[in-house]
Amino acid sequence: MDEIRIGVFVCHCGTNIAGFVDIASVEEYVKTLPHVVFTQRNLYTCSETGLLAIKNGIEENKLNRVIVAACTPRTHEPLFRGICSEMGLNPYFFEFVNIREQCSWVHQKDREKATLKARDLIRMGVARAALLEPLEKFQIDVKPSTLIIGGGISGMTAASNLANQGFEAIIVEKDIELGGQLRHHHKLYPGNMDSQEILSIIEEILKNPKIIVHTSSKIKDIDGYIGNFDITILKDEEEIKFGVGTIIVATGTDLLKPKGLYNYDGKKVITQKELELLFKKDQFNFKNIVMIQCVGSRNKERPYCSSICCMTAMKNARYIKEKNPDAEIIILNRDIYTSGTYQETYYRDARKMGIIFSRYNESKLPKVSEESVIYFNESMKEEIEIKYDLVVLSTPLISYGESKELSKMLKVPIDEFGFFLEAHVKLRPVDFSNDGIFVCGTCKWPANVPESISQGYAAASRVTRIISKDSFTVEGATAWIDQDKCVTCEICLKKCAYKAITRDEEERVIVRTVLCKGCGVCATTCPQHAIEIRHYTDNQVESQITALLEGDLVE
Amino acid sequence: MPQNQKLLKYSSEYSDELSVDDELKKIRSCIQCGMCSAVCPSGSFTALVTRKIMRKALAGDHSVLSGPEIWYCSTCFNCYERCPRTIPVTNVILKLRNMAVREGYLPDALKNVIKNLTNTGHAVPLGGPDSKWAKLREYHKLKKVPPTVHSFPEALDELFTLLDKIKFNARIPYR
Amino acid sequence: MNQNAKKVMVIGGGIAGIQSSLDLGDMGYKVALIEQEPCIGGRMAQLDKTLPTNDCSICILAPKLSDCFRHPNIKIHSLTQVQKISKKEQGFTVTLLRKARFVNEDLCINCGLCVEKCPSKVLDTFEMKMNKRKAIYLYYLQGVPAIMAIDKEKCLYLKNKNKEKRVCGFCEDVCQHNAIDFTQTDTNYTLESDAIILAVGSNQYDPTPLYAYGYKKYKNVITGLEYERMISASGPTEGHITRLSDKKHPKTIAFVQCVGSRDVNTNPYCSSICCTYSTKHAILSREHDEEIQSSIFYIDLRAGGKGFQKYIERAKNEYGVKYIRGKIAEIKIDENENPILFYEDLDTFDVKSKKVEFVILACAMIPTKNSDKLAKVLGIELDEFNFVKSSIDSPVNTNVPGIFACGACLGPQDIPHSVINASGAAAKASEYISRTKR
Repeated sequence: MDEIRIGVFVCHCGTNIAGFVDIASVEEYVKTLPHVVFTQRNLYTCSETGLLAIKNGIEENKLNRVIVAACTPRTHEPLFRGICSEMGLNPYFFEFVNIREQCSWVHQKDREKATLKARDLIRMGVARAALLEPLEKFQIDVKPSTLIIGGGISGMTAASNLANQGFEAIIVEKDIELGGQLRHHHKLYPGNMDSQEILSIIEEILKNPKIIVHTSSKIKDIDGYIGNFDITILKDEEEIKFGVGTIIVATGTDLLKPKGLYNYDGKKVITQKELELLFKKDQFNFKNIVMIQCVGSRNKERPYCSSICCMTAMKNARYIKEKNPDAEIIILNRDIYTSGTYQETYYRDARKMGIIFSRYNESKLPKVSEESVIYFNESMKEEIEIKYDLVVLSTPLISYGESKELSKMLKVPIDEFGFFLEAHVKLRPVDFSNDGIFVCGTCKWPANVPESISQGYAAASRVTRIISKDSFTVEGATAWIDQDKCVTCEICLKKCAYKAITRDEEERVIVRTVLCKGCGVCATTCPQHAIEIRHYTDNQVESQITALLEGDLVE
Repeated sequence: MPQNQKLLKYSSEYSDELSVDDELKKIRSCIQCGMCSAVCPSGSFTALVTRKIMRKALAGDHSVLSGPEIWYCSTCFNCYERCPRTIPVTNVILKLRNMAVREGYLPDALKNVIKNLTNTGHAVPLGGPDSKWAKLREYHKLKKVPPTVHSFPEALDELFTLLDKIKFNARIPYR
Repeated sequence: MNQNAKKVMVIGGGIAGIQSSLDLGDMGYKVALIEQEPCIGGRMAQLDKTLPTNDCSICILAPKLSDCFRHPNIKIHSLTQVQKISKKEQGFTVTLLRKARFVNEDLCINCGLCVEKCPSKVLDTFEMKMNKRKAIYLYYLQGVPAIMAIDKEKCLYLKNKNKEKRVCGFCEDVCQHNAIDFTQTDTNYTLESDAIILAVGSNQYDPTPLYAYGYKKYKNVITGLEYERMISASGPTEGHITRLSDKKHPKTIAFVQCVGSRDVNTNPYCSSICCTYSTKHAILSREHDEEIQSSIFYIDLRAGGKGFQKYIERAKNEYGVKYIRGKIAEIKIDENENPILFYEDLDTFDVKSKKVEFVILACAMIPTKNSDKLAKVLGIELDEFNFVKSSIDSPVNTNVPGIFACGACLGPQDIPHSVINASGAAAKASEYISRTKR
């Protein structure tokens, strides 16, 4: 075996680390550790300057292990591994030590101990680095097709975009027809475009030879992995199976039915959706209308703003006022949400038309009685009674109950409100952390029509990145079963959240490496210790623990 | 029924009258941000809360006419200049004063002004030939009594004719 | 799919342009990423943290910058602007102007020796002019490409080029890689492109005309972006919250909402992001200094994005941030230059004043300075506020087929929206090319 030559790059991260850890003394210390032949401090190791320093470091010192002591592998590991690859080093010879999230940020008050901890963490990294083994990533074939779950505007947009690029898209819609929530809408703000106009995309979708549509269908099972998902759906009791390369989740949302709130009865006290239905049927005939915003949202139970209800209420109020200028409409609100360019003007114009906006407070909710609404006017600090013939409640978008089931099938997370949780709220807004699965539209968070369309396009873009290529590279750090030790008890098979463990033709328990995320659950549950996670082997982890116990902080 | 409960008359005759004029109509776009109150120089000394007046006017609350607040405005137009919705706040107040007078609401101090006007033809009369104003005028080589109604009491009749024409007397009895 | 020969031009190297470029590059398109500054990164590079997770902004952006730089299908054209565009039967021919960098991109290794020697100091625009940099400079620390550039207007050598005796030129002397090249000139060149994505971003409203707030007159009244740089570890005060008048650390800070927005006298639209970014500032202030008390003055609290409402609750409950409903009418100062804010507390009808030690104006997002000029060059329509006009059924399309838009040039929006639109524009560009070139 070649001599182990470790290079350690300690990052200041501006003052994120250097502000709380004595980096110079850490570097001095690191020089004394076994196998370490080169050390360097960088202001930002991730900057092009820092990366160049790593490259030079590898070249000039013939490094065969690289350690960066900086932030988190979650964002930066691919970058540093890439640099190692570029320099001809196996990327798994790279070791990341987190001295920011796990050190400087949490010990901002004690520089001395933070510095000692940084030394400990790096010493652990050095111990492990010496034991790292080269691993290979491998390529899997990718089917150039996409399953789109949900045939609302967002899903249809994605399908149309993909099909127009020449890729096959399969829409699975639980309803009898495509269109989603938009079917129930009357007009769309700000221009009062008929929602049917946007739904003309349905015709285009049905005609497109690249798009297959399954209505009245439900997802029954999802198996496989990026590039090769096996889908089973139930269509009118009949099972249909097909394979796709990627999946887009576009299941949309439900609107809260305000049962038990404000005397909701569906007749004199209705929802905005029901109001639009009256418009559509041309059955609207009321003069004194009270609308109440934030019904069932921005409260303890649902502490979120549904973000589209203010505009929806205004749209409908304006429509009424346009038809009948004598109609008297008051919108009881908490904060008017009209963010964006045209929205504020829309709001101003609504007021100019004579629609009254009045503020109430969460602690004193309006009361709806038989004939009147009594509320506490927040602007005037007085109680006011309004006679009405119609009360319209603006209720929030809420997640479908089925999302939970689907999230389990897909192994993707949902948040506390049942909305799907993307990989990164800021920078990966339509990706899931699982490869090959994407999300768009309101099943992720309340969104209006243009936002849902944008997200549909965005998901299509993320999909195209994958299916425009013949293959996809997957991670090499996976589980490995020692067949000599395995007693085929199948505990691991049941525990694996990714369905990555299975029986082969010879009835051996094996790992389907492409599905394995290297999470390690199987290894910890195996009574025979027959499973090892590559890149996180027992002896690598033990070496870290041993190194930790040598530290000054251990008493 | 809870106490202090009011019936909202949001399209009452008062706010209707404000909606006739396109400029005044802008009051409807008020978002109750409080800018007008905060920039009001009069508001820092008196009970004038401009935003409250706007809100009441918009809601057709009668108390805005009967109360004294609208008379505290010094018509500096600060509020108009700073309103994010360019609502002519001052003009709205002036309009409300018109309406208040029509309804017969006028603070006592202003009633004295009317009394002065009807007695002397001046809202702020100068006083007799021995007043300090007369002496000051004399010092500046002006006539002791200016050539206004003060010098021509008979012109008062013309004033009354004018006031009668605009039915001022019917609203504010001046004699 | 044979997409290899197809080209897309992305104008603007902020987070939106970066995301579009990365998506298209991954799809196999050849991307020309046009950036007028010396480095890509845009506004997001200037931010300290991002909300609602308080992720370090540059830390999550930096990998994307590197990805762009190292991507085999993406070429970054820095210091470059679009001059002219002509529509061909298929696609576009774009004339570009590359400003002279006076530094050879292939030779500079960003060692910084030249910066040390350069005697000429310039107000740093990246640091919102709160700091000075040298005439030869790296646009910002983590900037990509990590190459120096020389400010032509401030470089002593270049300013005195026509004189008989050589002036300065220290950078040239000290550079061990012969990277300094004073002979470079601005150059015009053309690129062919099958589709174009516009991602020119936005500016911050300059509140100087709002005389009642005293910006620039009072040293302790600064803008949101200035504060963003101030609390950033790599910023002009190295992350220390410091009053500009006396370098003291303020203990009370007021955040004024709707500065240059929701006001027909300035910008009638709602700038969308300020309620939450001020909340972020207030939270971060407390994280910098536990004694800091923050108050946010607002009209309507707008927090519709994912996790935003909870973020505000956290600010109230865990960070003691006070939300006061009432638009600030005027700011004055006392003898110690402490700002005094005048407002009506809408919850009590009281016209009040509040003395604080520091004021941050939450200024609106406005279109970039040259957006109207660029729109004219590209032949695209703008809306009444000079943002790129789009429609609700095609939110990333412009009126010109083949030209798409994303990010804040479409109107005020936060990072997730920009990233979504950016990926969306990439999908539309790819669809356009597939359809027209099938």
